[in-house]
Amino acid sequence: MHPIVPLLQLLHLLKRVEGRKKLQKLVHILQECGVPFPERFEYSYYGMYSAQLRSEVERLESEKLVNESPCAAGTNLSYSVETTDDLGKLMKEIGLEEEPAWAATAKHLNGLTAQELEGISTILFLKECGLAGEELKKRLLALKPHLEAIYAKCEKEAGKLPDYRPAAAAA
Amino acid sequence: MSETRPKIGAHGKVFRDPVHGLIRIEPEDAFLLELIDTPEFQRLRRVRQLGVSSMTYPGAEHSRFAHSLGVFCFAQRMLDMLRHRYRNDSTATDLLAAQGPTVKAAALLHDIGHAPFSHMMERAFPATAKHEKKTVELITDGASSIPAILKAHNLDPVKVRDIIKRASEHRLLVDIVSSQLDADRMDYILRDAVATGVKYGAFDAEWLLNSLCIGAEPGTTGQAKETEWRLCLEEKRGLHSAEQLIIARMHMSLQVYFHKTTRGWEAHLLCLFKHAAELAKQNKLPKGTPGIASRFFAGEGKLDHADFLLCDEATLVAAMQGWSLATKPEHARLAELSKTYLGRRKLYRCADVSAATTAQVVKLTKALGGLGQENLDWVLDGLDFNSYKDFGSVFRKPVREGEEAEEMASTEAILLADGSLGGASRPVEGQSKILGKLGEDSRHAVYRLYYHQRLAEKVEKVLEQLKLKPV
Repeated sequence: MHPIVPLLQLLHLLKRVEGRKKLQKLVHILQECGVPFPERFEYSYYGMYSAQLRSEVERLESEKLVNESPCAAGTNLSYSVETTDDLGKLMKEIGLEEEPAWAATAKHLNGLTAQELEGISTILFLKECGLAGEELKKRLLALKPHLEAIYAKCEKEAGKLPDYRPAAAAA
Repeated sequence: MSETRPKIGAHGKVFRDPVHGLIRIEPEDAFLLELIDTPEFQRLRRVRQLGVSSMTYPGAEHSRFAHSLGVFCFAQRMLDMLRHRYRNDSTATDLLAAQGPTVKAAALLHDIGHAPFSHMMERAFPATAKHEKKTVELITDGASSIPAILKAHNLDPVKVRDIIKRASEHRLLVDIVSSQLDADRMDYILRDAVATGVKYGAFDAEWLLNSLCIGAEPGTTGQAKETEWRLCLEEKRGLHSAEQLIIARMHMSLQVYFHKTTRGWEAHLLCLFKHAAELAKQNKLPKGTPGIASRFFAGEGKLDHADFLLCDEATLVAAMQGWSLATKPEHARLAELSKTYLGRRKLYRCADVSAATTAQVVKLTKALGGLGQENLDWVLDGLDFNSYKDFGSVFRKPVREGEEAEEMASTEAILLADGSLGGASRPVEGQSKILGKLGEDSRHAVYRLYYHQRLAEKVEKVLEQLKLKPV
């Protein structure tokens, strides 16, 4: 399977993602759940970010497999990513029309706000750094004070994420 | 902690170095010598900085050990420069004095988690996919000798870790070790250029250091807090050296890090190591395979601490030497891959399919799946193989008014500021015609298909069917 396939599957599944930031966080969270997204993420001011993912979406847009169009995101203007018919045709051609095992999680996450996803993604990052409990909360709020009101929800969502890694690797 | 503390004279300790001339450790930083003397750090002498690049550039035999000392040297000089520049402002000098040892430790230790063959091994197994993860473990985990040394000198391993992971609340400190303007890339570009003999890597590091200043995170309103400080270049002085750095890095990426031959040998090793892991999991590696190599492959790169300390390039090359002589039919592929690697005889052909669309590449992968096993018979070196520092990420389109904040602008751009402490900053690409132009088309997609010569006829037919003309 080509490494870009999980991204194609995700976009094909969701059809529309409201904002570049939201797509970044979605992919990072699913990657943390063990879905084989190959993109490299680094912690940035706005949370986990992958320049590789950004570049891939730009490429898909230039090849007309997705469209980016302006949409409102809070007080700012953002860009939603929408799939085109060409992507649907490609998925059919390569026999990847069926929903992947992680479809329900992806759909659920896409129903959350960009800020909530930012919170979940940052919690997962801080966990990987070795933080837990109150220490994690303190660090997250120091880095992202604007997430204070939704911290509890983000923590709850992060806690119920499934693990899609093959059993052997997860053990 | 090390059994005997290394001695440091009244004048400190110096290392001779091809990039820096002399790398000096001051007497007050004696703890760094203790860190250098740990088995975790000494192991880096046996991990080459550029993995298999010496197959292409024979001089590229330099180690992560030398590079790590170089990163420390640049970080130390950055701290000294900033302390000198803001010597009349105690807010800055206090922070830099208090956090200096932590930053120096982070700079020195930032690469200790690298597996043999450096970034190549990151492509092989999940356990080796992120060297940063292993680095962090070695800095904080009790099995390693490093946390005890840090604690003995009143340094918090967690703070060292946070700088490396970019999770420190002090962005300025993170910037020194990990940013577009960091000590890491300043050292590796110069060092790799010296070692490979490629002259494109030259840039004016002295002037760049001399232009460093502390600005504020873009978008900061009012007086910037310490946590909003960023490492910047003084606008009047640093623009051209920043351009040079970016161009040097781009050329080094295209000429050295993404070199077709080097990537071909990486693909070769990838196939060899994946195959070795398959055999190791079935307990079928040839007799005489070194124990550490057997455990490394059986665990797909996962090792306990004692094994990790001894697992280096020599271990894996020794295994290959044995495998090259294996005679059992079940070892035929392992022997072929080992023998051809050790003798530098190309087994895989290369087709550059950079012009392919995503649809073509996905279809190609599917068709190749019917011809042979991925990462054994063929390797598609494409979108996911840009782990050698993503130079494209510097060049983002300028943020338009009212648009969603361009995320990379504040984290990945080189920032220019007026030089006053915490003064307003802005991304360099907005001020530079060269970088602005580059920013209009930043993508350097490199897609190459490496395939076993036995499959040449079939693969070339598939390429033709998909109308993929190798370039």
